[in-house]
Amino acid sequence: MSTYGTTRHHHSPAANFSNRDRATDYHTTLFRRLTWDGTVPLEIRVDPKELPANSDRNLECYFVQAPRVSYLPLLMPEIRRFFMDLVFDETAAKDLKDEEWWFETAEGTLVKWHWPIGLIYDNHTISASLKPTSSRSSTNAIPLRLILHLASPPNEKLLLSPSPEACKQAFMGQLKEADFIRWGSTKRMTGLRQQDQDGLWEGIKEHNFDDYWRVASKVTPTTAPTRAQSPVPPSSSASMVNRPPSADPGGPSERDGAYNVRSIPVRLYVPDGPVIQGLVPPMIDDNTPRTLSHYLVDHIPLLFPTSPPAPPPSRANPHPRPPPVPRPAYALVQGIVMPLETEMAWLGGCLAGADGWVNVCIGINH
Amino acid sequence: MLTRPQFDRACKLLVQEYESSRPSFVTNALRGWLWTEHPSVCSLGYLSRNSNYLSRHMEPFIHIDSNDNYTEIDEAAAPICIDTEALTSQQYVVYSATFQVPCFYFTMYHSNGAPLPINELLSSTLFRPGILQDANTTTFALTRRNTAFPLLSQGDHPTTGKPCWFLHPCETTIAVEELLKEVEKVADSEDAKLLSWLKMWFVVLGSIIDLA
Repeated sequence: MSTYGTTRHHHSPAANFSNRDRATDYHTTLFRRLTWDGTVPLEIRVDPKELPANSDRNLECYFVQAPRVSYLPLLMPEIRRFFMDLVFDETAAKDLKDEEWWFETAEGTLVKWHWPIGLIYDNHTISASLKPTSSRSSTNAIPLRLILHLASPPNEKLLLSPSPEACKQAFMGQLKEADFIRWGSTKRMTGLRQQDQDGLWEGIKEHNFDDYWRVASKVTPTTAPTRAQSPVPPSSSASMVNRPPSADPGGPSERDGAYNVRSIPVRLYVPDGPVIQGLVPPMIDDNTPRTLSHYLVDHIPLLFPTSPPAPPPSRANPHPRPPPVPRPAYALVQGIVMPLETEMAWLGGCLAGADGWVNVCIGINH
Repeated sequence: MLTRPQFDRACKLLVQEYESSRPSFVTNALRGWLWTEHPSVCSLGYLSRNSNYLSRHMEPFIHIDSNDNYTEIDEAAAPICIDTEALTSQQYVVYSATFQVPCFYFTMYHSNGAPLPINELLSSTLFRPGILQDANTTTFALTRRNTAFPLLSQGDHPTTGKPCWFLHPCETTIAVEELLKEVEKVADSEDAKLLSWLKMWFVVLGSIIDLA
């Protein structure tokens, strides 16, 4: 996967508009599909002190390759089925209340069930890589080991009741916030019919790319020919610009492109640190898109120092280059180390999570 | 709307103005706040304070029917409740990075340390009467009819990461700016305008939350 550097599109605007009635361009769809299909390995075991009597201890671990864009409460039915049907003795387990079940990592940190699974995984992988005992791992993905507790959730430290309904509301809230960040209002999201809004969550629950994107494409900016200085669209498309997005079957108009948003919905996760969120306009100036490098230098300059300038030219060195800068840290998006020249607007259109947010996790190089 | 530096400045001005003032009914909402910053990341500062409230136990303030619908009983018709319990609340004014306005976060506990479920929160003296009007309540949120976001729901404190309840800030700017039109003088200094904005925000908050 070495081709993230490509962020420009060489289609002619005219050709794209004629193909665009239903389709987002190929490039964007490819990355959205890759994001959607991304999975991470989870290994779930019940706290041995809480196993009901007569449980089958040979089967104490549930392994699942979970979609990055999904949520732990949505995995609960299959986890519950595994433990109740195969592991727990029926009599001993009959009084268990699954609304009291909660997760902890093997290291003892509480798991934030309202975070997408991919984000939980990436953060955890980075934390684990910083522990003195960790070794530089091979390319094999290490499962995220979770301990499932069956009772007494620590309510003062956890959000209450990780029910699917609470999870859905949190998810819809994130989508609306992302909408607000991009355009200064939530009317693209709230303008969708209730059925469509519910369809977004159904797409997550059923893990169906087409169902989800059938609705999401109406509100998510694309990176198709939508640069600020692009030529004016041909008159046949001009009428699309004035229709409200939900009435427009062709998807967002050029005006709704990823490079025209007010700010990109992005959050920064520093190891064992707070979540950082700031304004991220897509362009530095009229001609320069904001890159990941600009973003990181702005927010965490100690970890992403700017290159000092090149030394002045001299007879011995007429074409000096700036000296190489040590890179103490790297940026992970959807589990992939991102080249720092990646454009933020492109990330917003192509590698955001299903909740609309680009999550940048910072790892430290050994 | 406020930028983060404006929010920081307004909060510090507020703390400064009221830190040595005497308690009074009028200023209680604005007193007792402490400015705290994140130990290593700048621009994540917030105001915090502790407050005490009472629960309203008897003569239910909130009626729950067999379908789990919460409705409020008219206070004038309900007998005064005598048996109340002391509750402690940690309150925070944080900056909402998304909506670029202050946002009110809080937690509330019984004296034994147990956190309150939502129906007990809503019947405590923290909330002004009328909170349930036109609203749908679940165990995790209260949502007014025809609004995009729940009025009250849970979220992580942006600086400490602690789970809290919070009031959604999205309607605040409109309300505050409407009110400011009535009082602001063009000749005010930048600092005076910022302090004014924050105080007006407290007024708007005060219509939902009892901050005394």
